Amino acid sequence: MHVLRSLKRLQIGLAMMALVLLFSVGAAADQKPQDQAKAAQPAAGEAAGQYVGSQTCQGCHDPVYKSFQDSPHWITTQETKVTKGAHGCESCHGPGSAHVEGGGDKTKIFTFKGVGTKEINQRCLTCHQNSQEHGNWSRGMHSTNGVSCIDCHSPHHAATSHLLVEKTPQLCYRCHTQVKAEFARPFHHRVNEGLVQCTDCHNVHGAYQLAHSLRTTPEQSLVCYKCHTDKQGPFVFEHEPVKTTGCTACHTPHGSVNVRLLKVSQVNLLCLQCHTTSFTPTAKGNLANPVPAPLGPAHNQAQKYQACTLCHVAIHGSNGSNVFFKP
Amino acid sequence: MHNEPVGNRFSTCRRSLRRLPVMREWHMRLKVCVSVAALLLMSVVLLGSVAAQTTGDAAPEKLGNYLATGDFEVGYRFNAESGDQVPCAFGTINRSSAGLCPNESMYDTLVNLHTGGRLLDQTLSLRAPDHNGGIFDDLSISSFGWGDPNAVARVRASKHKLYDFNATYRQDRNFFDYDLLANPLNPAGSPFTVGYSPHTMDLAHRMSDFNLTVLPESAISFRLGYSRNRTEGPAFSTLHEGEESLLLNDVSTTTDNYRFGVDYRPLKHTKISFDEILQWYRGDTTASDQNLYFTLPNGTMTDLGIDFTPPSTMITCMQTVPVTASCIKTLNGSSQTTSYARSNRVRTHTPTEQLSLESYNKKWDVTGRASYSGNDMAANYNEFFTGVTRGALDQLLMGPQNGKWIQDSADLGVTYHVTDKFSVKDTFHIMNWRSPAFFNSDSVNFNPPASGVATPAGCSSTACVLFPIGSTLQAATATMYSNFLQQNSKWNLLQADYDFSRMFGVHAGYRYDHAAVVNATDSLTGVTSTVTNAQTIISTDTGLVGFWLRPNSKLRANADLNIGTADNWEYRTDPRRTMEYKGRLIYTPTRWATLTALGNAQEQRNRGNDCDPTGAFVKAPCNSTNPVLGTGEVDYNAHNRNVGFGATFMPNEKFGFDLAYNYSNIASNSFICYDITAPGAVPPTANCVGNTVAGVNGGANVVGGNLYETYEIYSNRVHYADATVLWKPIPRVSANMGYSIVSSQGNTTTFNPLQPLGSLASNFHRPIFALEVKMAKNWAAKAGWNYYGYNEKDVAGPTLPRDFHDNMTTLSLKYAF
Repeated sequence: MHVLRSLKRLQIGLAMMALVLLFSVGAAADQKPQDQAKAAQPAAGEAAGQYVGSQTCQGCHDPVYKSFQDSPHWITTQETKVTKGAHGCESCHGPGSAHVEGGGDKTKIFTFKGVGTKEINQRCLTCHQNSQEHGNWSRGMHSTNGVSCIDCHSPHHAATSHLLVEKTPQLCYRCHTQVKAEFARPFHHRVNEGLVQCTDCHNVHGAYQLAHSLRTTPEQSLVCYKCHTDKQGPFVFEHEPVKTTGCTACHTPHGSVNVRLLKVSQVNLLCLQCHTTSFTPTAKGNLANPVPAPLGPAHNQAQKYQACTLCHVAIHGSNGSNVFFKP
Repeated sequence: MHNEPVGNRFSTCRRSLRRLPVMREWHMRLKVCVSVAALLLMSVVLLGSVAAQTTGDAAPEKLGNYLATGDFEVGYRFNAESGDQVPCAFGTINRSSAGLCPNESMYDTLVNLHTGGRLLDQTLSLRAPDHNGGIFDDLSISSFGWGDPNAVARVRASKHKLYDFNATYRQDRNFFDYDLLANPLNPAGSPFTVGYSPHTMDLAHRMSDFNLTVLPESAISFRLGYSRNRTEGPAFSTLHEGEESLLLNDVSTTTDNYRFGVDYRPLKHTKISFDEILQWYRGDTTASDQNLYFTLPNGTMTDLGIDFTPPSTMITCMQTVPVTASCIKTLNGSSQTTSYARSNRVRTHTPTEQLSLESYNKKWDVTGRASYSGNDMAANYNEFFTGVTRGALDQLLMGPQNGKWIQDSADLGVTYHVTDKFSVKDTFHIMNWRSPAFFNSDSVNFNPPASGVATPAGCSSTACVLFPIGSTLQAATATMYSNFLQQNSKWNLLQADYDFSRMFGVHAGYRYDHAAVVNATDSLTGVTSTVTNAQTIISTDTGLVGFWLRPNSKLRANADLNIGTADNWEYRTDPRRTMEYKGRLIYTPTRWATLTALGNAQEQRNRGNDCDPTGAFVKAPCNSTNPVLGTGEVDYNAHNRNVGFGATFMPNEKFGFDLAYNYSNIASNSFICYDITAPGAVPPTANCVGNTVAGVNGGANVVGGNLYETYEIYSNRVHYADATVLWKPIPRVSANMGYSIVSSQGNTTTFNPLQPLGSLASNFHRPIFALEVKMAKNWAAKAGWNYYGYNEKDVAGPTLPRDFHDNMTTLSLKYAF
């Protein structure tokens, strides 16, 4: 018994040592790329290397060069107004002469491993900053939270279009796991089915609309109206919060256990949260302009009127009825 | 997993098997179908194992100047539904042992996959290796889901320096019939229960987008775009004209959007763009009453509506055949529809102009955008109603409608990189939109026939549905509606980022929001004018702080905290205080393992007073010591809290698994005041304050005279778990097994005892199994099994809880080159 207990302790001890060793090796391995990165940066006063041309890179890095040639980045080997000053492989990795003369010395050229996200992003934004798609990157949430371009994109080992490492939405689910759970709920936008993509509503590179990096329609309206154009109006009788607050006043856009992606399960409860039968003249502190609350219903909730939208069918706005009885 | 449009609902398997007496039991047929599928699959595997040994990935084929790769996958889906909810229709064979059938409407609403052939997937890529192709250097065409409710096709083509083109077509078959939505929940003793949603729809939604950039690498490039969005199909709705008549809508809406843009690059790092966007919307949805089920003595069919609450005399009367004269007397004043037709042809034109700028150098990057949009809406309203509504007989409503939406907005974003470590960012937004709209309506009632028509038996007045429509009109009632809604909003976010090192950075910021809403309405009927005018101004201050951490290539973490306060509120659910916390950790100990953990919480509060500080109205002035009229009478309190974990292990090409778990806790509560007799499960706490004076809101028009206040609750706890295993025992065979479940539990204030929790308390199970065998060079056979199991846990309500179980088997062949 004593021997068995000792053996068990030994096993636990060995397992813990293995874990410690694993983490230590991982941490130690990371030192090297960082050291490399430091060495790769030209020291003050050191002369910059010369560009050797992408064909030279192909001599040693043929498979990588072939993937580069097949990718949109091939355009950096051509002289255009947009790519003026680009040098193919060396557009991103910097002048390669020292690397070549050093027999492939990795410390003599810029590699994307072990460097900070800011440095990586700056390299990519040298060309990609000037677009409506990427122009707000520095102010976006991904940039602010230390996400780098190569967390999602791989110029040489892309798995799918736009040089992504994985197809969407699985790529987004890697970090946004709660969103994966939301789209699994019974009522949801058809993202998992492939009909809608995350990038249809969100500009992952940053947007003027900072909350959730939402896009807008071309005419600067809510992105929801890109597909749900029948709700855009204008209507003669507007349901005010639809226009002032937006669709999220009542709906949760990713997915919900509630029908119609509503915030609550009962429609009546949703309506009563605002249209409660009470008088709210000046609670907002604007005595000069009393604001009456939306009139509350005097309908018996226990019976006939337990479903507001049974009568108020055109709840997003109506041209024919000031109480939304008809469209 | 891709979903599919509705295919053939009758499987070949079912048809052939139905002839055998022993096969009438659905579970026997399912067993046979699965067995046949398994036998086929085994044959394919065996054939594959003795087939040509070379089964590596296909190399691109040379087609002239291009290298071509592609694949297509064709297959067939076999669907077998079961469930324990609804009584089965006569002759139905897929009934459970309890003799019940699945809720097919709920299955079609959530899943909508049916038996039939499919083009599951297709890709084609043509690439000119030397970038000297003919019309294009690169062409990519891909699509999936043909035969399923959702199908998508994408095309990308480009020619070096000349153009870049992409197009997308999306098709969505949207069937909806969740029977609790808008359901009147007729009590026991009603002539019938409404076992479907009165707002059922079966719509086809087709969206296409085309974008072309000409001379993309030049100093001046041009962009052209076109998008079309079309929705059509039948849908039910209801009409409140005394009673709730059931209408059938022929939905038809079309939006065409044209875009023209020019990009000019005067300097290497500066681009100026101008865009002109033109959008046309056409709404041609019509409605008519097709629910005329009750026959009047004169042979006219009538719709008494779908809501059958007492009085019991009407119920008894309707159940008496043939209808008696006294019944007519009961019915003649009651609202009912003998015919209804409505059209509202809407045409909206929206032109938008936009100017934008991007520019950057080592120290600065600037983006800016300004746009102006002014649309015109014109519509013609025509509604013809015959029947009785609110004591009036036969009505015509018509008139032109016009509206505008004028919007101007501007955005500016600036980042100044003070040093390599420190940067300051500012984002500013301003928008002003205003929407005036008008409806000049004419409402006309028809006269009953002047002479020669005897008063029908049972009719006590001319407002009787048995009177035929007269040929003369009464004087029209003209009402001019004039409405105006406007919002001015601006916000500014100033933020500073400091990176202590390449491993750690922090950010902090302040955001100011300001919004002013003006809402004015005017309706003029005759000489009587009703005017309302309201304005609300809200200012919000929000502080943000956060950090990110990347100590090595294996570990990433970030956290953010936002706290905001507003000085006012427009709606009771507008938060006066918001708090948002987010934290995320991603750890990749080895190349093949990733662990993720995250937590976030959004909290919203509005403890505003719902009273009158001036004392000029019914309620007494707000008094912090008075518990009834004091603080917190709105007391809106909402949160969405979430925690989740994930793990992915892919040690080699042969084996891997993926796990995920997520827990959400969602709640929304506030004081509400409502009219109710026979209160529901959560009793009201007190009479509503201030609602005792006639003519003031709930005073004179209280039905039953019972206004109660309660602190309503909505709470929802959702568990999500997902596990997937990938296994490739040999290079030619790969198997994928998985299971996901969404389990929801919740509680909510119940007004009507017949209202169940519905999907708020439900489980949704979705296990899967997929097998792929590479039989020969370029060929692969695939088999998949999907199970969809949905059930609700609350048994309240006039129908059994919604429930379905579906076994979906998909067999397919894939050819890749």
